[in-house]
This record gives sequence, C-alpha cells and structure tokens, in this order.
Amino acid sequence: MKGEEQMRHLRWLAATGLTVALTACGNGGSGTLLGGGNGDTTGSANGGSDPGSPAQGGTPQGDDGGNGADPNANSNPNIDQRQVNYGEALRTAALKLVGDLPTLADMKAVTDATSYGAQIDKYLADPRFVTRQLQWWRDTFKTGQPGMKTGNGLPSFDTAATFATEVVVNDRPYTDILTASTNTCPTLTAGTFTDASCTNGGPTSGVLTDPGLQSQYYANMAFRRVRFIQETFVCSKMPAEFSPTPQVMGSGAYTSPWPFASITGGTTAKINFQDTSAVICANCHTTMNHMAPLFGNFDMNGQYQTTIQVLVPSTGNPKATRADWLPAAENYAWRNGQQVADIPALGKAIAADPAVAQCIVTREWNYAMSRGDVVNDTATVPSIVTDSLVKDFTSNGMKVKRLLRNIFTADDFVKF
Amino acid sequence: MKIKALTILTVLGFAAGCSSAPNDVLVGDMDPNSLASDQNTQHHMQDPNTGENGISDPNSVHAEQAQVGSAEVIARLHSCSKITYSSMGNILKNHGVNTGSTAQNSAGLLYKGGASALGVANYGGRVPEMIIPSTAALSKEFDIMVAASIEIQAAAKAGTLNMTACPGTPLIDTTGNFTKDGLSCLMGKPATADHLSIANDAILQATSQGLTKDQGQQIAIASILEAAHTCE
Repeated sequence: MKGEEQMRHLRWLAATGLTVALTACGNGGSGTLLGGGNGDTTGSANGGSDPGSPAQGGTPQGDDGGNGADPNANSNPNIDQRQVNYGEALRTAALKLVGDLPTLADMKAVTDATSYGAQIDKYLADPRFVTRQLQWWRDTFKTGQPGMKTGNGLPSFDTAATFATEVVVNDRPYTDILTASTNTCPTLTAGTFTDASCTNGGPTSGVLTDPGLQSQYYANMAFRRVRFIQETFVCSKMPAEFSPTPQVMGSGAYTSPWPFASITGGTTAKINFQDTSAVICANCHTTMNHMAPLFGNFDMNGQYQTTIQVLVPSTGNPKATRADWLPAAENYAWRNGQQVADIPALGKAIAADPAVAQCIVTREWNYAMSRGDVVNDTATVPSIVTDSLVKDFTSNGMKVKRLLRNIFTADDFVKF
Repeated sequence: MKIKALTILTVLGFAAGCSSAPNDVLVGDMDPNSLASDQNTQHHMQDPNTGENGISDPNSVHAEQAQVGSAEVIARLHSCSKITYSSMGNILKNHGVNTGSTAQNSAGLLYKGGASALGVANYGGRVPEMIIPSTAALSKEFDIMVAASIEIQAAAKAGTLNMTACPGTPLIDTTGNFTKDGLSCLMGKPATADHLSIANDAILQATSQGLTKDQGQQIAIASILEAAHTCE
C-alpha cells in the first residue's frame, strides 16, 4: 500500500515535471520561461501590427517582427487597448535621452512615424545626450564621483562611467567597454572627451581594470568585484551556471556544472567552499572562484600591485593566496570550459557571451519603458520581447545608439 | 529520497532543456522556488551592510505584476519611473522657476533640500539614483510642484514668464484662461482640448468656492504639473 502511494507520487511528479517542461519550452526556441504558455504572446500584444512597420513608427526588428507568436493568442486588454501616441512617446523619450522635456517646436514637428524618428535621431546627437548617458552609466555601475571622497590615494570614481559613455556616444562596439586595451580612463569636460589611459598599473581591459570600479568593489577575496561583473554585464545574480544533471548533496542540491572539487575546500582550508552543511556554497563559488583571483591584486584604491591585496574573512584576516580560491591544478575561467589566462582574456570571454548582449538590451529596454532594474527590481524581460532587438544589436556592430533608436521607435514604446 | 531526487531532476531538467536561450539566465535565482533559491544557495547580498538599499522584494514584485498580466505583457507596457533629480531641475528651470531660490517654501528651496527624498544616488553606498518613485519622493515632488505653480502663475500674470523650451508662448491669455500651447509646455506633450477644458474649469470651480482667480490658476498649474510628471 505504501509502495503504491509512493508510485502515485512518483508518477505525479514525473507528469508535473513534464508539463512544466513543455510549458516552459512551448515557444519554439525562444525559451521564454516567464512569458511562454500562458496565452499572452506577442502577435496581438502589439495590436497585431509589426513592430518594424514604418507605419507604426518602428524600426525593422528582425525576420519575425519581434514576435514569432500566434497573433490570435493574446487577449490582454492592457496590451490590446493601447494606441500610438507620438506626443507621449516624445515626452518620455526626451526625458530619457536628454534629461529634459521636448520644446514646443519639437512637439509640433512630430506628426507621424517619420518625423518622430527624426526627433529621436536629433536627441541622440544632442550634447545633452552625453550628460544623460554619463549619469546612466554612473547609476548602472553604482559608481560615480558625485558625493565621493577624494585624496588619500583614492582614484576617480567617474572614469568607468565616462569611458562607457564615450563608447556609446562615439558609436564604438559595446564590447569595447569590456575589452579595450587603451584609453579606458578618459575625462569629459564641457561635452568633450579627452582620451587617457588608466594609471593604476597592471593589465587593461575596458572597465574591468578601472581603478574607480576596483576601489568601489574592493572586498574580501575580490568576490564583490565578480558580483559586479555578473550583475552589471549578465543581468542576473549568482549562481550563473547550472548543470543538466544536478546532484543531491548535503542539505540541498549541487546545481553547478563544475566538478565539485574544482574549488578550495576541506577542513584545512581557510574557507571551506565545499561545505554543504547549510547551503551549497559551490553552486556559486565554482564560478566565482575561477574568476576572483584575477582581481585579487587590485588594492582598496584600485591600484594593481604585484601581490594579492584582498583579504580572507577568517581568523586574523590574512591576505588571500591563490590556494584560498582554487586547487593548484585549476585554471582561471569565465565559465566552465572557458578557461582564461588573464583579465584581458576574461574580458574577451565575457564580451563573447550571448547573455551580455541580451543583458544590455534588457537594461536599456527597461530604462526606456520606465521599468525598474532587471537585477535590483527583478524587472526581467522575456526573450520574446527583445529577441529581434538583440539580433539587430549583435548583427550591426553592437552599437548602443542604434539599439536606443530601435527601442525608442519600437511599437511597444510609442503605444500607450 | 527518490521523490526528492526526482523532483530535483524533473525541475532541473526543464531548466536545462531551455538553457540555449540567452536570457534564461535572467530568471536565475529570482524565482523563489528555484533550486538556486536562498534555501539552497547562500544569498550573501541579504547580509547586513552589504548594499541592499533600494532592492525590491522579488515576491512583492511578482504579486504586483500578476495583477496586470504575464511577464511579457508587463514588459511591453510602459511603467512609471521617477523623473531623475537633474531632470526635475531642468523642468523647473524651463518653466521659469528659480531653482536657486532660498525663500522659505519656494520650489527652489524644496528642490535643493529634497535631494534625499527625491532618491539621488549614494555612490559611496553603491546605491544608484532611485528608479521607482517612493512615497516620500512622490510627496516631495507634489510639494515642489505646488510651490512652483505659485511662482509660474505669478510670472504668467505679470507677463514675465519665460518658459525657455517654449519661447514667446503665453501660458495664460488676456482673459485669464490657459492657452493650449502653454499647457503643452507645462506637460511636455501636446495638450488636448480636454486638458484645456479641465484646466480652465479648475479656475471656475475655485472662484465659485470663494477662492481668487489667481488661486484657481495656481491649482490648475499644480494639478497639470503633478499629473504629467508624477505618474498621477
């Protein structure tokens, strides 16, 4: 009897798991874990129109017009009842792009999709766009000079945001923010960038080696620096990697694809990253520990030193050694199977990760649509909403200004 | 034990089955029921003093969004973010408000002194400028708009109002009624006949209740500003 009951439980679980799997994967290859299978698909979400249609003021957004869903599947009144309103769109676009309301002349100049698009182009070329971008990157990096202390060896906390702004404004590939090997500490005065390389020593790889960021995110074992990279450029919290074959372990499940023993552990380690007694530390730390040592040599002022500068939160707070993160045979890596030798190689590996392009598209989308942050506010965006934007972004040199134009002229953006 | 293992494998199986989509990682540990939840994976960010200021509670976010529609529907709809502190200053200046005023209860003084309530960044604490308006931020914005309306109305009446984004555009005509272009400038979007009607009706309602025409105009300006710029 007990056996029959257990079998019923097993069958129910299997059926539930299969149902969940089918539901989650029900939108073709889009993998919309959040949006799929609930009937709220895109087609009529846009009133049945093509977001790339010039008649709708949109920019071509890919083969399927950004949808790829059954146009009859949606019946959400909040979506269906929206109307194109270029006046309203111009107001919010102006605030987002130049930090001010449109002028009366701007308002009167916008009469249709074409004139609206021209106004967006004007804002993207406006000097105030530079100022607004700088502030946006400060907030994205959670680092900026306003309100920060100076002196005592502290670096500028504005160089990272300034460099990212320069990349955007000058239409350089977004990935330069992660991979540029020179002039990554520019200054901005009266709307003019002056190139300069950082003077904190060590390797250079975009903002990854920026002294202000390294100082801002200084913490034990450089883990805060790794967290910054994950949340800023991948738009999700740790854990970052998941195994297709999780293992029941200790009080939970080990979900990382890395070999469990690929990070430091055991009773003699200063920190036992293989501990499973309360939670599974290795779920996150297998990823983190393969990166964090690369950033260990930056001191609390963001200066690169010849020895490791970060501390271990154990008795006496000693400076970390490589063995505190990894066994001797382990290499550094961005992800399991993607070894890197140094920070520039790490920057290239991050830049090549599809999740990075998806991330910036998501964050910009949320900004345009007045939503919260994808990480801080859990404002996730199903891929069905942004797939076409990501495709356009990655196939056209990863230019953020082009991305912004596509977003601010998208069908969803101009409808209220 | 078998049940536990099967549960883990079926749920993880579905996650892995969709892992090719780039944004699957966006779901990450945000699902409270995920195996990567706090019950299984330590969430250091929730430790004290680690910069959790301004972080929304995922469960609250899910509950609020569920009232509107699916995640896709939510993502396709405009939400309402707080106007940035610098943009608020620009709006005030462009409406002829003296943001450098030190007069008590002036819009300028409220603006300068309200930076914290308005959610400016605290980079030292790794806190960016607030995106979603708090109740305190909205209350402060209301106070500033009300104070600004007095200044704007007085300048309009005196013929000295200089809305820099709309040079030469009168807000109030010679009969004391609002102009459509003037309201457009206040809102930053084309005013409709309804906007004009509501604004002028506010003057009539005010005077019918014993207030002056000036006060009616101030009420109308404040209402228009708040409706346009504070998600009301």
